[in-house]
Amino acid sequence: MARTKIFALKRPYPRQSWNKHAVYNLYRYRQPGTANRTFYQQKFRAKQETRRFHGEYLTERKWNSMFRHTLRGVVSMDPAVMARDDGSSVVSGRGSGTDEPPRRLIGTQEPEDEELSGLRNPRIPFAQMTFAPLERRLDTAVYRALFASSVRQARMMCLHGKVMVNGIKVPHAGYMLNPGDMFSVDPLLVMSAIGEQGRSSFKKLSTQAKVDLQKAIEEGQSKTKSSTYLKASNKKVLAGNADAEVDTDTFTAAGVKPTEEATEGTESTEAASTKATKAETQPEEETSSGKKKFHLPSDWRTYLPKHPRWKIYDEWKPKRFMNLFAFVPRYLEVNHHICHAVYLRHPVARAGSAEVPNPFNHDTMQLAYNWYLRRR
Amino acid sequence: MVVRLRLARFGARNRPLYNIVVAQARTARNSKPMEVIGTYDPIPKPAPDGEGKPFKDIQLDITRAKYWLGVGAQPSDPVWRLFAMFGLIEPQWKVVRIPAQQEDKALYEKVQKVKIIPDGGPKTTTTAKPTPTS
Amino acid sequence: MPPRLRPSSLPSTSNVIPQSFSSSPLLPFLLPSHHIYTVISSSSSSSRNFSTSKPAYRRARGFEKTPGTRNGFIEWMAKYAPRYNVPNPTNNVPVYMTYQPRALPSKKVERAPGMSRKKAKLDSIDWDTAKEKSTLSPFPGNKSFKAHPVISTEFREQIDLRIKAGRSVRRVSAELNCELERIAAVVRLKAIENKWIEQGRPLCTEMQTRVHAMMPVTHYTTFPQHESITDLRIHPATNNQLFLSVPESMAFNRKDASDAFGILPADVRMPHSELIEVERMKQAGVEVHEMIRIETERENREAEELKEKRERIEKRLKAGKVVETERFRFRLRPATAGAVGHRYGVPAEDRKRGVNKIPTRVL
Repeated sequence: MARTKIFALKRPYPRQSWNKHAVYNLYRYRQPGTANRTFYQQKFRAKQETRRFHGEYLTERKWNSMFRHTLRGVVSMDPAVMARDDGSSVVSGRGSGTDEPPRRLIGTQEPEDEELSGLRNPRIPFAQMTFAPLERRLDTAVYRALFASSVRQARMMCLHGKVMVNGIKVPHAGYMLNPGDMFSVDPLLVMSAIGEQGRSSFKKLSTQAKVDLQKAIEEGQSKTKSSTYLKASNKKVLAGNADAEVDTDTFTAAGVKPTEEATEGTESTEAASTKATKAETQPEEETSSGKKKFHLPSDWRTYLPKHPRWKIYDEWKPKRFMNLFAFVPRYLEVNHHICHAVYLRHPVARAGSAEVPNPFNHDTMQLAYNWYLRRR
Repeated sequence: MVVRLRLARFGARNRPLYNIVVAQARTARNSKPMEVIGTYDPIPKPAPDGEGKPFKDIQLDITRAKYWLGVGAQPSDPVWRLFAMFGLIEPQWKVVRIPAQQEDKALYEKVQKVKIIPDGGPKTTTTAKPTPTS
Repeated sequence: MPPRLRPSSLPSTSNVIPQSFSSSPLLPFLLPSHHIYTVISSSSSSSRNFSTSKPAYRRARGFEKTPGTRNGFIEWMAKYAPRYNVPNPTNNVPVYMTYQPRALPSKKVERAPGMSRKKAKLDSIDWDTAKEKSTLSPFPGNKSFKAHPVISTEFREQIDLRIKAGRSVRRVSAELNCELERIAAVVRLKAIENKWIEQGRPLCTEMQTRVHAMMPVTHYTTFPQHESITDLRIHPATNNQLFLSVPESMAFNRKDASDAFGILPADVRMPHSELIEVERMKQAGVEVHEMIRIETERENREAEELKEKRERIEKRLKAGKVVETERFRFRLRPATAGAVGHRYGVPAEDRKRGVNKIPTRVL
């Protein structure tokens, strides 16, 4: 079974989460040292550290079956060069090419900075791709697309059947995405997962929603025949929307007389009926702004449109520390308007950069790769 | 013994797939049939263009089906329904659709029961009011 | 034995950093990797003047196991954590962990009379300079992972407009320097978005804006440089060395090399291989209108082929009758007895141990 306590402060392990403890642990994290250790110890330590970050909820056996020793890489080609040269110049001479190595100007030095030297002589960081097979997993992709604030949360979304792949519910966190697969999560769920905590934003209707509601009710009142609107107002649809609270200062439940017939068999609770009496005493109340107050019938819930604009749509705020992890890898194309994303291709390494996000340096990843390479 | 045209269930739990088979009536459901003449996938797939009704797939060897019907094989009810779609036999029963106008009228009557309370009016509500959902 | 008292002013070991030096949030990353350090906050050191923790040399490798860990966390949350939550909704400077919020460059802004101090401070941040200085590495320890920009919403619109205008995915990809797959994905996503708008479903516009404000974004320009579109996948067959004797007088080109490996040449495997031909024409001095004519011809030819392919697929999908009922459409397809259906005598492996039950593809 997967560990439940994963953010211990005493053992600062990097985890794929925006949890405050995880951030603090990542902040003070240092790469494992290699001094005075045997090669085996170095590899073992590197494997431990990297596995704590990548799929720590998976058993080693499961991960071992996913590991592939072949790592994907790409080389950027220049069509202009390819048009000029059919490649024969590379092997001309005595097989090593006639190109002379670039001469350095006298007096200049090789740049000390790692990044600069990388620019001059970029190498493909293949070892960083060790855990690339995990990126294909549905839960990881949901996290990478910024639809969840941790891989575990993404996993939970999958297992609860909230994630769709190509329009079909896939309740398997371990589903391996194929290039071209489109996955999606319900926007309300995403907004609460990666947004500021607190349910108040869910309960209140936004200004736009209030306008919608008013329009809908007016429409409902004007129409005597069946409308699509009333068709939609069946209980099932509304059940999910019913926990909305309406600001009492803007909305006033309109004239339901708290008679016995009214309260009997209707939804008006005691609170609603008191509100109603208040409204009845001042039926034509004017607000300070001079606008006529919008009166809401007691069965306003039945008038809610199918997708009401909750306050969260208009006033969404990111979760704390989200900006530290706000990046989308190149192998995904995400549309946050609709909370859909497409898995374009498998992640690859290219000169100077790899597409698998992790906090480990190349040495650590190389050791980890070597660990999993044994007996292969 | 009667020869029947019936379905044999394959697939996994919650994922049925059927073979349309010709078998002796008293043999076990998944025993080896006399002949497999088609398949039926009852799980609806979403429409390829994303619009419209979801679809279900039926595969059938029509010539063999005709032959077996001709020699007196008895289709089971579900198979009867599938064969009726291919036009091999008359459907056992027909769904009588309420014409659109009537349907609208029925709905209109239903809607009439729901009273909408105008502003401030001391109106009473009827029993057709929806009950609270939460 | 009673605890030995230790003067609080005397740090226990040399690797304890006094408060005044620990101000940089990046300190752990600036220190050499073997350096174990402890931040002593002034409050905690005064409250406890003897140490119950193990001396530094006996502490476990790498981690700090002092009882002050929690205090350290609380202090960090109060002092450094807010700096990472810089509210910058309009800029494109990602505030990653490698970023130094302390060193945010500022410019002189006159404070309006009604303006709060906090607002004035935020206004004085010089985001343009910050953008130049910012690093795109979200993880301080890993330089090889860089946050690649995402395309802005306007960019997406432009892609969609071009495709709707009838241009091919290949052409739009080359024009806007986006991968072929990305163009296709953007169009698919955009179609869903448009459908939602049609249906009146609300979009998470606020979330989209704020998420994009946190990360690097490629904005639409006339010649946008989003990403390399000619990335050639390294073929696994070329991972192993291959020894081949070739006469010195023979020119050995890419075609020969690919034949030796038994794969297609790079000129064919590369996405946008047609660009090579364009470059060749350019280098040969072919006139522009001639080049355009040739390219258009090629495009038309490709479009034709694609259309034929689509029709074939459509035909296959639509083979047989379709019966529509109230809820479903039944696709009736002809089959041949003997070749149709699930086999008998084959055990079902769906309950077997070690067999993968998760579907490998959806649709």
